[in-house]
Amino acid sequence: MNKMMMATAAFALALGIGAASAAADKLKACWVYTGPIGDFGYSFQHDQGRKAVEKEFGDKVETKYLENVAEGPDAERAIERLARDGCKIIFTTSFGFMDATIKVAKKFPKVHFEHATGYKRAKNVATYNARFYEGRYVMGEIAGKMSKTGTAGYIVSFPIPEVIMGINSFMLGAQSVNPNFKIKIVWVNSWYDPGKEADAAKVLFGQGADIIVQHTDSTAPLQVAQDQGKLGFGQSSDMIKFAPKAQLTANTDNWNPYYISRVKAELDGVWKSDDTWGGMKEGMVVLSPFTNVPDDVKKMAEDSVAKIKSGELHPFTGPITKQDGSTVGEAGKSLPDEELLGMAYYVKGIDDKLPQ
Amino acid sequence: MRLLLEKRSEHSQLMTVISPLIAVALTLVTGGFMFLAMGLNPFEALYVYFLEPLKFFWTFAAEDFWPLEQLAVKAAPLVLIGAGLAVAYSANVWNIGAEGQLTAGAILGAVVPVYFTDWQSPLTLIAMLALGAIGGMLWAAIPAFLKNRFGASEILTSLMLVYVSQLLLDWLVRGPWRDPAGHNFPQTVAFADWQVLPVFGESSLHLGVLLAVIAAAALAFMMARTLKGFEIKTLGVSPRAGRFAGFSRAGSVWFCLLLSGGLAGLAGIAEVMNTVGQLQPKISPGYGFTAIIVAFLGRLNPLGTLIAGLALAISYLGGEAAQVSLGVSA
Amino acid sequence: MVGGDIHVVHTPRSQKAGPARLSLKDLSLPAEGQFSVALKSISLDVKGGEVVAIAGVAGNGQSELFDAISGERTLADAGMLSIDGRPQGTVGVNARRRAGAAFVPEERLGHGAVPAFRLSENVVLTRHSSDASLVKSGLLQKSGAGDVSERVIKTYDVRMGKVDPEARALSGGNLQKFVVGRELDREPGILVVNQPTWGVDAGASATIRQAIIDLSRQGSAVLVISQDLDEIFEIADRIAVISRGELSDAHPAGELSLQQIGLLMAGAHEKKEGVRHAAVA
Repeated sequence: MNKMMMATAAFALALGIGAASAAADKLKACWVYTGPIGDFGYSFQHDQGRKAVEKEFGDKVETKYLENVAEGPDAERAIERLARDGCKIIFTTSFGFMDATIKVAKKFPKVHFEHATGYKRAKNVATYNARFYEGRYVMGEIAGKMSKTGTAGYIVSFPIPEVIMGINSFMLGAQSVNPNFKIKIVWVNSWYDPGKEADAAKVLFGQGADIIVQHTDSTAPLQVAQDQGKLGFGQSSDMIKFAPKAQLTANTDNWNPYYISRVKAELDGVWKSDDTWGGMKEGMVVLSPFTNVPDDVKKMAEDSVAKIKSGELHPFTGPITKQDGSTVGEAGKSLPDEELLGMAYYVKGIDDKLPQ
Repeated sequence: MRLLLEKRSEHSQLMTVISPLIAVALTLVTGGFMFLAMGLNPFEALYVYFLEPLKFFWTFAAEDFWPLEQLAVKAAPLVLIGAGLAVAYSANVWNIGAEGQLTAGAILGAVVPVYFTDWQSPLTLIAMLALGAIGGMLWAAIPAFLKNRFGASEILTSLMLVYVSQLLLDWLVRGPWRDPAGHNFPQTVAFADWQVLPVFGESSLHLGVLLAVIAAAALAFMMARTLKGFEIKTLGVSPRAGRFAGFSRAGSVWFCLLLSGGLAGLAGIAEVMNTVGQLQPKISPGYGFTAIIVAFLGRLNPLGTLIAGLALAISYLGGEAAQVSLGVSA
Repeated sequence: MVGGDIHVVHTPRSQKAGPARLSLKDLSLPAEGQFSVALKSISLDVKGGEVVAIAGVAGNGQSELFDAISGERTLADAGMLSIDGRPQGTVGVNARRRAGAAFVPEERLGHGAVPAFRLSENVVLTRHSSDASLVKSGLLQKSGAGDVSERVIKTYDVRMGKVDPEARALSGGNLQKFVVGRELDREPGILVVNQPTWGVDAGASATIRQAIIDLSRQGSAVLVISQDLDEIFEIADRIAVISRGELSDAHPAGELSLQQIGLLMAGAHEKKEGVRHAAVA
């Protein structure tokens, strides 16, 4: 009897709470992350954007997020759960959420969706991305100056245009100061796998690289660099805390201004589907303070950043020689965006074969 | 005074039903304390976790049906695999590699969309499902053969084959089967409309859910009412008596591995024919392993796996719900 | 058994035995593992209407011989074992049952019966292929099994605490009565029993021995494997002795003394240097 009563009480209490949480008149803005927000990389940085939105709008918005959502079977349900929960604007932050976002968007025409790094749009689905390659060019320049062996190790996830673009940009930057620069590449086939990333870093250092670059999200490679007294670059967010003696700079994504502007548009009722590809100029790509570098290298890097912002320097300025010797792009002109977004070749000098 | 533990001379029917319930209750209490330690109201947290998905049963509100659908969709592969494993385990055939058979089924079933992309016929779905089941059976036939021929433990062989199948899948989606128009992502072409499982009405309940219910019911009937079920149970509890009854141990190893492997393969192809929609390096969050728990939680009774599958689906989806409603980290 | 009458087993000697219903001819079977005994060229005829007993010290090939006769282990050559004149050496236990044979192994729990199964389920264990009322097109007929079970319980006075209990809930004697009764109920042409009353109380032993003799007097061939010489002299018409996998000739029970059996148990009949020793009697 006693037990029954307790169970009933708990049940009633629970029902009451369930009902109460539905009553709120704020704009719900929601995020879906593929990694844990504690990755201190890609997902962490998006979550910083979410927090910036909370700070900016205070009582007017309520934010929610789902982390660690696998790309594939679970993505669609995760996104739909947020839409059903009353989210009015949903940011899906990984390429692998593309089809799921489009599917759910069809079911919820009144909800606005924002998909990062993809190319499929709809009336209620916008896309956004950052020109990470701009930061990578400057990192390449720094590596060209700082590497004693003239070799960088590059840890990468998947051979998609986004990633290949980054490798090429880094190489072009490095070649601009050291024409004989070399890159060694290891594919770890994951966006976030600290164990594999650390192993890859060790292998690359073992093969003569003395600077590590990554297109994966964990801090592990940089920590290996720190332990071995080598150098490296942070990815997505400033990782200086994890490698105070190793990090030269970090190619950070700064989604804060973008998220604030989109949520503001939603609040003002002027949101519309759009495609945003912002770089250093728009403040979406920011290189964190240059550390562990001599003054001349620091100055060179700062100059390059200024030139990229002003439009004076574009990493992909033609003609660019591909790995196979053919060239692409007109002399003195930058490659068009479509060319960059479909990039499936290496530039000359990269000693690796693209996985086919 | 000395305490003596004595074995009951007979199974207690009551305990068969109650002991899983006790386990669940203990889980709830432990969970409650953990929520409390995290500074949350344990009742609210447990409600969000376990009861909210079932809200439809007392609200009857249309919008509350969705979590229930998701639950069924999530439980479907667990039940499909778990019911087969329950039968195999009843016969003391320890198929631990259902995850591998699931993968093999998904691979063989995907031959249709990959190589016969344009073949559009009412038979397309049936061919894919059948190939899925056959793929799982072929994969399970390997441990069956090794067990009967060389006495190799099926626990080890079936488990090791999980990794083989996953590497095979990985190689296929990065290599020969990669979608040429897929921006280099390791995945096959997306399945066309006629290559995905039909859903009931506007819901997300797909044919795989129905298949899971049918499989669980059919296997429960087999175990309770047929000579085959009698044979499996006998060989499981008393191999010597099974031999005296003229039942073949080798035959039951084949039967159980092919059955549970076939169902796992079916679950695999059904997953990629619905929720995933293409082959990619990872097609299952470990359904084949979770189904082992489902089989035991369901007391090795195929109908029991129906309930156990739902219970595990709740714990999975509840985690997601808790993230959204309580802001708990996953 | 508690509370039962002590029966006196009534054994009218068979006047004339019929033709051989169970024939073993040069039956050989290799050992199955380190602790098993190989059977060497065993020959024996059991005629309708007689009880033949195989005596011997435990571990001399009795359980191997039982497995070979029951078909749990099949033989290399069909002619090594014939049932009613038809060679059955290569077929399994169920085909031999369908040919009219019935078997009761030494171990009640875990061999003759599944401990966790109810009595009605244990009926199915040995009779599913020979009894059409138990299984129809692959489906178990629970009422059929229940009927058989109740009949056996009634006929052989099986006592138990509740309706249709699990086999392990029965006392040794009651379970043995059930396991033997389950086979006798089929009225088999051939019955092979290993240790019919081992570990069974006196009352149950008497019931079982009487039932075995009664079956043979109806024209069935009965082969009893036993270590209990009192039992053997009580029920057997002829006696053979097994030692180290070899079987002696069978001698009429009245012509054998305990001392002669003792010599046979010590291996007097075993083949040595290819010469078969003359029969002791």
